[in-house]
Amino acid sequence: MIDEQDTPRAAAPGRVVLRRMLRHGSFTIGATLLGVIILIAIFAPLIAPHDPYATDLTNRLLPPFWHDDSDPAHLLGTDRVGRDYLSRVMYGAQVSLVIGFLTVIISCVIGSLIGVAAGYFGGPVDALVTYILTTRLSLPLFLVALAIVALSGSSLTTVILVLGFFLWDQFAVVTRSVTQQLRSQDYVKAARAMGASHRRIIFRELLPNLREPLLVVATVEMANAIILEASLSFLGFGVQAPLPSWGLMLSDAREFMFFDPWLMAIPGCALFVLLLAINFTGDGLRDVTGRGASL
Amino acid sequence: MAGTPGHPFNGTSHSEMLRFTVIRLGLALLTLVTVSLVAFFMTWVAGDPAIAIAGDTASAEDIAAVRDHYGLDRPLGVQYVDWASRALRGDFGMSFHFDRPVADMLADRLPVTLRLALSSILFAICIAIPLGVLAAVYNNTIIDRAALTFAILGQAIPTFWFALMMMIFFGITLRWLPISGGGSWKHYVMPTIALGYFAMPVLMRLTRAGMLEALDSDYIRTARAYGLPARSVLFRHALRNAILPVVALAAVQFGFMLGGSIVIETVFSLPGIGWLGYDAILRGDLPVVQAILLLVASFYVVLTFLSDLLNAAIDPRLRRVRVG
Repeated sequence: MIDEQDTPRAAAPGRVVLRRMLRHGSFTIGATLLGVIILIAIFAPLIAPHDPYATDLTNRLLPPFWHDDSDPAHLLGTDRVGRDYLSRVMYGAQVSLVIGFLTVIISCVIGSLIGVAAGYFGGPVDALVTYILTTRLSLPLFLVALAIVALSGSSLTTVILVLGFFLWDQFAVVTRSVTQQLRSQDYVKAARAMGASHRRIIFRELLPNLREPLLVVATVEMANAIILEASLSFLGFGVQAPLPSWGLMLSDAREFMFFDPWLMAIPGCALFVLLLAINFTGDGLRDVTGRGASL
Repeated sequence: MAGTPGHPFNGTSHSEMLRFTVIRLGLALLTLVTVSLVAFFMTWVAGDPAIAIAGDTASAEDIAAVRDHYGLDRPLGVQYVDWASRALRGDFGMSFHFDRPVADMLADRLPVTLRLALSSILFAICIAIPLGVLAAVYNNTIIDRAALTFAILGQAIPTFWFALMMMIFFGITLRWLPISGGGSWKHYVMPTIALGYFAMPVLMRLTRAGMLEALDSDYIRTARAYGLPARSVLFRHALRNAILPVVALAAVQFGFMLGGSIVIETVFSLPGIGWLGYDAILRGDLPVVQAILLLVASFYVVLTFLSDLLNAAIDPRLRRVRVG
């Protein structure tokens, strides 16, 4: 009934966007890297050389392959209780990705509900949302997250819930402003004149147009969630040992950092590469879709 | 500044600005009240504070005595009003753990955090602005791409890990810099670089975007057409317009840093309020956590308020889109 191309900010047809994405250098690099990391995480049980939880006290703190006295059975060495470091790094990708994806799903739902409501209804609803948003932003996220995890006990679920309920602000900001622009578009007015319900307008006319800006915000917040989990776990208030989280591995490595700095370098590099992949992907999306340039 | 040709200050009504200021001020106050409620009731979510003070092994009489001593048996509303009105006067109660006024502990620690946040944001600005200008002037060249890549690296590198790697390299291998404590300016070098590099990318992108927009505008073209020297066009006219939003954003980021330096302060054992907050959470010292929460939120609210005013003064359109 209503062609998407009628809207001034409508996306180029899918295939053109795809071709532009593939020609965009940093998007290709980022997305490929991210794909590889996701595959490693999914197939970790098949490709990891060892059980990430199996301790071997006779082979503690073996150095990685670039040291002369390394063990070919443990390419990236072993940690302080003899667990294979490569296997733990591979399984660690699962933890980071699960945190990243689930947190973003929760916060995307919360943020876009709030943002669409504010942008669509305006007036007092918008004022209320502005107030909630300002309050959320003024609470120091890391301190509050630390306190909540400390009070309710550290676990993967707690971390995901806390981060999910805190990282919705940018989703709300972006959906609010896009909705404000769309609300006065002719096709939305037409739908309303034809007697479409609010619910129908929001779900059929507004949400499809929010897909791309939400995707851009999602990459930013996913990176954010992954860094926050690593930082919380590093301080001992994130996920629980012996889960192979990169943040926990960094935390364990701390007491050996001056004698065996590779223990700290390896999980950090893994984290860095994942975050780089997500950032490159997000940056490419932002350029290609021309959305969220203000971020 | 108002005289610059084409500058966005173009004599819009003062009453609009006044209305905006009043609404924003009301919002800021409301936010602070809400944050104080959150901070206060966090204590109660955490469990009975009387038990926290007396300790897990305390007898029922001890707990009752503590409850009586601290006035914990009064209705919650009364306790909140009492706590909030004391907090307004700078009295945050006594630390559960150290038997010292929380306000004194904060006063000891705050200068360290302020110094760190200030040096980090200055470091970030000093890199972001020249880099953003360069990227805009040499748009779509290798310089632009290098600047953007440098920014992406800063966004992606986990701050605390970057800090730890610097510690290993500059602190242990080269032995140039101290790795923990806060005694001299040398103790601030690595924390400043770590936090500053994290804050830099968004400032640099904003500078670049602002400069691109300014360089493309009519008044810059006019200035060029009048034959003004390129340097003067770039710095006196274009940069002047691009820089105010960057300063406004830097103010907000400064607010974030006051609450966001927990990991960095902990890693470097810098005795600021971030590390104090972490310690207080470890010990369950709730009055300290409450006070830090309130203090950091207040800084943030004040800085956001000022930054909103600055932005609205530059761009009159912003006065209308919010609340109304």
